[in-house]
Amino acid sequence: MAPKRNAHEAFGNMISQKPLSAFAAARLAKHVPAYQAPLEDRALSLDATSLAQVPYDGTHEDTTSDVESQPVDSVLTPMLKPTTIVRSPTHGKGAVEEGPDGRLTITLRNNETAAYVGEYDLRVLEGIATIYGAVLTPTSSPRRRRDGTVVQISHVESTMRALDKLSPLFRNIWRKEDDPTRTFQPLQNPADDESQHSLLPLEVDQRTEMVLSRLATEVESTARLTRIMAVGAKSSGKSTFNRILCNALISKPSLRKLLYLDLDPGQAEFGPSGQLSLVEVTAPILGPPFTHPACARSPRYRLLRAHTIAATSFKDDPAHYVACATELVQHADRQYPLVVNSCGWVSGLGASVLQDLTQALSITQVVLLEPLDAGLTAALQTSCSDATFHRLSRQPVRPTARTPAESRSMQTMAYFHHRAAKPTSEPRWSSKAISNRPPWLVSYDGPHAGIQAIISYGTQPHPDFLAETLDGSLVALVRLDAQYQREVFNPSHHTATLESSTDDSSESATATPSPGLIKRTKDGLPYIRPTPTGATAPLDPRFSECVSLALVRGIDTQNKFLQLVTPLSESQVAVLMDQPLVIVRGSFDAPEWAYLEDLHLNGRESGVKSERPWVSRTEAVGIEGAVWRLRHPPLASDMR
Amino acid sequence: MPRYTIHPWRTHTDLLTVRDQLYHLDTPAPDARRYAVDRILSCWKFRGNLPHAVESTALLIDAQLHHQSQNSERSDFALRAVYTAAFTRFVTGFCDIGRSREGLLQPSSMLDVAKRIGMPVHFVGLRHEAVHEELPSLGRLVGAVDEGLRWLWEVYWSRLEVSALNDVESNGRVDDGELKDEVRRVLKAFRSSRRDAFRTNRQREAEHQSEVEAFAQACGRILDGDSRDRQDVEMFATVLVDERFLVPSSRSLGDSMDGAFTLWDPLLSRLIQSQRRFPATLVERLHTQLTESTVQSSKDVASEAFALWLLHALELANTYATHGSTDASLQAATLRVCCLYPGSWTKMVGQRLLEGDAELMADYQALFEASVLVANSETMEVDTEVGTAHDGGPSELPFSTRDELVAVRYSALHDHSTAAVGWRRALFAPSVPIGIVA
Repeated sequence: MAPKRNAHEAFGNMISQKPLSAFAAARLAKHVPAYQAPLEDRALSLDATSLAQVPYDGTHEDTTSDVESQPVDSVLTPMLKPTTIVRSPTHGKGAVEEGPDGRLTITLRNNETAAYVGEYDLRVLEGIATIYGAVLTPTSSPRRRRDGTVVQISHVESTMRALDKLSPLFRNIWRKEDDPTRTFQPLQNPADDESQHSLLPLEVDQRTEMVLSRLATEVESTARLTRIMAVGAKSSGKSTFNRILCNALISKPSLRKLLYLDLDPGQAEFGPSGQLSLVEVTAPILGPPFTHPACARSPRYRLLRAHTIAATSFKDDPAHYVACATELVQHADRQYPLVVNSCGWVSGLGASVLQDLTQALSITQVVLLEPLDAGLTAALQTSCSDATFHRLSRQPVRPTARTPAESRSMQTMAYFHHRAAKPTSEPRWSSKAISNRPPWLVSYDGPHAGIQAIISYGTQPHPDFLAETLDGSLVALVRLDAQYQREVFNPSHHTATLESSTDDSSESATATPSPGLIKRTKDGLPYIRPTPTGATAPLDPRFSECVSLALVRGIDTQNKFLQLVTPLSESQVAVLMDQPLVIVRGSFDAPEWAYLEDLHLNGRESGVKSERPWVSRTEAVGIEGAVWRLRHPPLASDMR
Repeated sequence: MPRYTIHPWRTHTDLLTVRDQLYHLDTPAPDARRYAVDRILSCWKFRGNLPHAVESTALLIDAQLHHQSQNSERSDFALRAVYTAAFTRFVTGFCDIGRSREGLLQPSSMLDVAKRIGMPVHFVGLRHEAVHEELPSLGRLVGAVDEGLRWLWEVYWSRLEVSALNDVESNGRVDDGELKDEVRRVLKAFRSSRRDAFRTNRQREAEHQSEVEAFAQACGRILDGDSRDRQDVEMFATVLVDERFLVPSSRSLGDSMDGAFTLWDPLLSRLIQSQRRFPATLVERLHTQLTESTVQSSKDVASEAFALWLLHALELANTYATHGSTDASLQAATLRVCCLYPGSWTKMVGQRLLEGDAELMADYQALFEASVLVANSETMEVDTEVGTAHDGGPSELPFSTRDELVAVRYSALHDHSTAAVGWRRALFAPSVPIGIVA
């Protein structure tokens, strides 16, 4: 660990002005989205025109300050004890036996580690093994062998790889070449992995081990009334710690189940970004987040309830964020321990929100991940004096292969491709480009409108441009309680319409727009008028629930349909259909991945209908290299 | 490898329109600037990926518009504050982006970045003053904003045209143009050769037959050209149908089409035999022609011609196609179009098809009659937009969805009062990119 730490400190504190180290350069290179081939001279070329193309919205800072630990690959490397030398059993020495259909049976001695890259089923036949903090034992007869462990690794039928073809972001994650018989490969030495994974052994230091075991004891002794929250800055190893913690707890035979409150809208563990969710976890969390979206039917990561803040940060409405979190925790069964995934904003507004959260959620155990501002620590300790505090020393920064924005888009993409599984089967991912999926036609006007209103969180677009803003963007579908819906949309005459049916109330909103809050744009899109203070009141989390994200595939203004693509199954939609639904839009990332999927899938554009909204093609010689012909504002007569 | 850029404007033309509005390049409508500024700040900004130059321009112009507005409530501070905020964000953005692009561990100063990118250094000075010292005077701010707008024109807006040109070239439309000319040339030559042959009454002679054969081969070469087969076939069919090669120019309503059929049949039948995609594409083009004109009167000469051609093309496909089941599904697809776009000519086509095929009759008669019924009453709006790209192609409709189609059409047409249609699953997987309503 020591060399790693030094590298990190050097990177953080270097004062001299010098060109980048290779590591930093690699991080910078990621600034170019992966669907663009990086230009070699990009770091060097600094002219106004190339800067003029860049959006100024904070995302350019991803490269410098914003790197959140995202161990996309680390799952693949089983945990190492700090003292262990990386040693994998090699072929042909009796330690590894190759069985039929490519399955491997490996015999490990104490403290020995095996590393396999790819996707596989892991089964402990004899002895005991740990992976990412989870303790695995044989299912049948957990008898302990004195001389080590036998594990079996076998090929899985995976549909995750289907996403490789739809986005370059998913490439180079798993096993390199496509071997149909085996979805994994042994890794002899992390350093010489050909596919350039940035793999590092997952190290758990002694201090962390101690905190983990203390927390586990706590959970077992306090009748499980434990609520644990790790607090730390970005890249401080929060997510990794939370995963190890969950896996350790879940391995306890007395528990087998815990609840996970996902409150990091920028880097959610179980859902798309912008979503806060309560998830019931009954299986170890091993893969990167995009491999395990939670859904209502999932047997392992069951989604209990979710809210959306429609943004990757709560900066626009911290009160709503805390309200959502507080509401979610009401649904947590106190029988089970609760692990809270907080977000890595630990200064300024973020710090005060953290303070509010620890109180509102009645956190009993706070894990502080260094480096942390002493002021925040003190504030937390005074604000929840009942809680026990644990302190972890600074964790090594794990190299990340993807920027936070890229990780988010991968996660959202996986979320949309995820097919709700049957309770027993493995999760599946659809290989169909999202543009080829039959959308739902949701009417937004008239007596049978499928959605009641479109609400904007954050800044409101001008009503004239609502359709243009919405088209091709991500939104959240939120279900309202019927009673609440009537009150909130028709405040002035809700007593009059309370007796009538739901359908009538929406009809009256259409027919007489003045009394309700709902206004309509030129195209008939229903929206909520902002209050005089300029803000839209967010939906009350007590009476609403985010059911899914949706991609507005198109807007048919003639027939007054929104074309929505959602990951919901038909039966789920059938249940929702007659309930009051609203669409919440905000500052979700632009779904760039969705615009390009069919291009990546088909190679070149096909067909003569080459219009592709919001996308341009730039050949290798881009704007930077072209010859400028027009130097002065032309007169009106010069234009076409 | 091509790179793709995502931008908040739908097409490059939109961006150029906004540029013209911002910089008064078009005939100045009074609130065109306001509109453009709102569109940028209140729509594109929310879509993400808005280049900083575009955002800055909108901010600076918004400040100017604020200044020009006749609002008497406006205080001197408010004016200066709006100018300052716009200008500061403009300069800071360029410098920040420049710094992160440099990627130095110890970032260079804003002044250094400004020098390197050729931004007037007093912009940075003014920003510094506005942030750390007194708010600059109104006169200086007005001047700086003007200068800023000129600089933005120079570094960003003036260079747009060139990149648009690049786009056109890289999309290969130039090639398409050449190929289209080639198709036109061949088709014209074929037509006059046939006419000459008829005039001199040697249409059955071997010499003419070999001419026809040569034309068919020339067309085949165009269609086989490159690997972009589908595109070429579509282009060929488009020229053939849309440019009215098939319709005699002096035709009037009710005239027989036999002359035109006789003229084109030798070529079309050969292409149907040799080009797998040709029958479907030809029929599809004819659909489009027919549906685009459903709103026109039933006396439309061209529509009648296309309707007759459609029937004839289906017959040809039936006779000559060697590729299995295409003919039957083509007929089904045509019938579906007839149901979706009720009009006098689609009605005629539909009826003829139903009369000729018992199986189709069983599947479609009810639906067809329903659609005709509604078309005749006044409740049905004929909507040409919805279906021009109705599905992945005429031959992709499996039998099960056919039943579904029948059911849904019924409910959509008749059940306005009973069934809630808030959520419906689209019947077809769309084959158009996201953002295009199919």
